Amino acid sequence: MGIFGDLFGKKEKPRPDFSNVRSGGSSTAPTPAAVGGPATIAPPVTTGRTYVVVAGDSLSRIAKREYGDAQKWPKIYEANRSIIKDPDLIYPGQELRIPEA
Amino acid sequence: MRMHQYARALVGLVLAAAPFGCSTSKPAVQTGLKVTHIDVGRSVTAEKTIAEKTDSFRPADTFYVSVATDGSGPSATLTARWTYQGGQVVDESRQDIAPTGSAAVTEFHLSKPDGWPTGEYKVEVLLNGASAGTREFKVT
Repeated sequence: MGIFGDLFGKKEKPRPDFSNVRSGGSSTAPTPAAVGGPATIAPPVTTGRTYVVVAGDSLSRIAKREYGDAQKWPKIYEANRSIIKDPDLIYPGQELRIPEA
Repeated sequence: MRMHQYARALVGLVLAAAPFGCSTSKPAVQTGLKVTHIDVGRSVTAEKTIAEKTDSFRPADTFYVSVATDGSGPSATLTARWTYQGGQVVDESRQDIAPTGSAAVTEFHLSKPDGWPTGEYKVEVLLNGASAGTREFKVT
């Protein structure tokens, strides 16, 4: 791409750096935690350990293995919201943080 | 004969229980919640609605997107995915909400201390991972 760009006199624009953006938000609706559900925007988990997803895994299966209770899958989901877009879709090789029970 | 009756009853029980067998692996589906309105602007009111709507920002501005939802549910995730010039992801923020009434408003905001590059931006709002709408704006 760069070679062809140079050949035709085009130069690729450098991509802007958005690493320092600050985001936030709020809602008039209560959070699930406030009404007894799973916690809202979870703070980064600094304790626990790492688990690498293998083929055939699901969050409930990992929760069963790690905590002995498949129902605790939201705990793992909340701790990994930055890398899990859909709790039904995890991929082999993904490194998940497993919070302490 | 009696064995056949027992077998039929057992099959019926298994079939009736089948839909509940996988409930541990999936989150609750928010069938009663929908996004009704999305606005973009420079500031928000205390009610989280946009106070100053615009689709043209200055580099020093803070972007706000206000998302109105209708319905209730024990847990739903709203996501704001901000992109630049047709694809570069600027930021992705999420908020978990549990709306209990008929209407709720959620705002997301984004700022950049050293100023936004000029160009075209887009914010896509997702409800439980499904796109609920996009708004485009520019920085000049």
